Amino acid sequence: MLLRRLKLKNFRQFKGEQILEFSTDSEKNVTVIMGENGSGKTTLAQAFTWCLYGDTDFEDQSMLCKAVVQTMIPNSEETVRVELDLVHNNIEYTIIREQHYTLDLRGNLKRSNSVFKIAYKNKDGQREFVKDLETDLRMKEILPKELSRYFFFDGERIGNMSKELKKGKSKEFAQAVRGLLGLSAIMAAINHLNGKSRTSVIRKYDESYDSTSDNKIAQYTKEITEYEEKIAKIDTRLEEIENEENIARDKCTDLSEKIKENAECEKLAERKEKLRRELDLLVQSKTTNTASLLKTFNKDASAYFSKKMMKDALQKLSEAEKLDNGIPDIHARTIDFLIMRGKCLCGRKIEVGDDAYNELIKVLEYIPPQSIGVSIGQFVKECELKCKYADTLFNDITEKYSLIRDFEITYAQKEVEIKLIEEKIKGMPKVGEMQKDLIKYENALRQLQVERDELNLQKGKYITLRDRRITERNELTLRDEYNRKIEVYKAYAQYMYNVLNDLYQKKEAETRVELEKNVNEIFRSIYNGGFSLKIDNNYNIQIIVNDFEGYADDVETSTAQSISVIFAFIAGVIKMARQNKNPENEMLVSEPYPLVMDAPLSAFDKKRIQTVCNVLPKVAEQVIIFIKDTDGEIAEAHMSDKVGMRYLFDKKNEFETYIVRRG
Amino acid sequence: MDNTNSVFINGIEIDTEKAYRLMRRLVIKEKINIKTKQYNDSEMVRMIKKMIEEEVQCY
Repeated sequence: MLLRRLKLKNFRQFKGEQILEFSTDSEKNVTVIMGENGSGKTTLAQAFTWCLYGDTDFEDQSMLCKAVVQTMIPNSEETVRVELDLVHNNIEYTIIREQHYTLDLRGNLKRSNSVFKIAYKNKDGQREFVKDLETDLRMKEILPKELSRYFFFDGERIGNMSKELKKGKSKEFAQAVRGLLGLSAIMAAINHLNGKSRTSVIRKYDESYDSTSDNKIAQYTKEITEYEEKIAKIDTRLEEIENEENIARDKCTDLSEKIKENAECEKLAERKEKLRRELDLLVQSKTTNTASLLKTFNKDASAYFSKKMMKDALQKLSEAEKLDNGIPDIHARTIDFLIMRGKCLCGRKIEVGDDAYNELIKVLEYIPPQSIGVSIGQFVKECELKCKYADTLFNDITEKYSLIRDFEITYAQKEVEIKLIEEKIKGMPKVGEMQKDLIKYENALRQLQVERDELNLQKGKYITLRDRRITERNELTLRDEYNRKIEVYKAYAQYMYNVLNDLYQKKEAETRVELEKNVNEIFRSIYNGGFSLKIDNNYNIQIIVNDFEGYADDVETSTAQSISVIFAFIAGVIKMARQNKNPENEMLVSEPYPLVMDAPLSAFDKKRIQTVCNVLPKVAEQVIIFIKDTDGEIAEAHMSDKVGMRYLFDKKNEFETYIVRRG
Repeated sequence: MDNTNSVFINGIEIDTEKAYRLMRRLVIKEKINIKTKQYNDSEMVRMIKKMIEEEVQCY
């Protein structure tokens, strides 16, 4: 697959129609697209995946240029369109994806119908369209989605890709790699000879026996077909079981690791609980002390603040002794008693209105309760008492306030500790729940194992029954001329199937060894550390430390190592795809692929950028590189003789960027 | 038939030279069809059957 041209219409910040033509020159096979951060490099890289698969990594799923949206009137429609011209297997394709948008009366932008089409030039040079139902299948043949991320490579998502390359790739991925490595023709031949579908050659021969010679032939054929269907059903389920087991096994490993990592989580949760209880006690204590402070204040504050006035008043009173004209220890009740008795203490008779009576009434004004002297006496006593309490108020309040302040500081400290714990355990799942999940997955694994064993037993039984029927049918068919011919043709088909199957296994193993060799060569040229790479049956990559013989475990890698691994893997696959195109590999069929890379060099130092720049244009048929200004200058300096096309982004504003061709 | 160039499958003697010739033709046909998409699976199966029958009938 070689990319020729990308045509954008209103795709994100690329307003209007903009065209990029890629270099397809075998000598100058690099296209460099340079731009500052935020100018649209990643967006342009995403335009490829949107066009091919309808996927992007954008959070805002609207592809329509915002500058265009601003000019839309209600009930109007605009279109986003990306067209990619490419050549695959010598056929010229145009992949077209369109998304229509309408602005409703409320001003909301709505997605309306979308279009995905694949056009190609037929033998006569006429443009035809792949049938709508076949577009996804054809896209899979041109570039399977499982592999696309490795050819449309985003330097900012290295972490996930590196993990995926090391483990956890799907069966589809391995199959897609096998296809790229040239094994697809053998795979197709195997499937056509004896695939699972009803249209395989051997199936067709099975259906062609003439059963008129012996009606048992038809009966045996029917039984054989039934057994085969049962075996196929079991095989499908066995495949599902394998996938389910892989998922469950990964989950178990993942959960066990997490449980181990999160053992601390439990301790933190206990500490948090203890702090919470302490906080409750502090709150109670604070409430009690605050109430006590307020009570003391309410009781003694008036005296405290009026102490100065009381002192001044007492001073004045001490200077005014003459005010007291009362008779000591004589109370109003005494006078009332004398008047009631009608006889004074001296024995004189008292009658209402006489002189004695009037004299006694006058005395009432100076004796308690009205006596000012007595009141003053009481006032003085009260003042003295209040002053005494007021003297302790300040110390009491200070002491209680200090306690409250202390509580507040302790409270705040404990709260901070709780928050820190919460922050720490926020991302940690609860260990108890993880334990439950782990048990669930372990049980599932055991059940799957039991199911698999049972299915294998059943499968063995069906295979024996089928083979017995095949032998019995053979005995009958060989007696008849026509059926004998069918047997002969079928035997040839079976033989070819067996040989091609063996050949496939052999070629696949050889190709994998060759790929490992190529990947290691490229890896060493990019990353000259003491590591090498190993590729297993499922195309998972292990990084091995060379200097420690016998150390077989995978090692943790740095970002630069991870990128080097990915580069090496992609470049290795591309190199082999290119080699397999040579006519001497007549059993293999393959196709060169381009490398489209967004910000691939950002994690590398200058020396590695130079190495990568030297290696990639040599191994890949075509390199399209989106790069920021500074890296771009280094990259261009190192592969200037390989650059066939240069572009840069002219960013007008956040919503408008234009692609400009450079000389 | 030369015994060194034959094998038995389900009691039928196979001429391996013929079978290899057939296989080469088959893989090349598949290679071409992968590129051109000229034939679908059913058509390919029909053609493979025809190829086998022509080749086998020659002996």
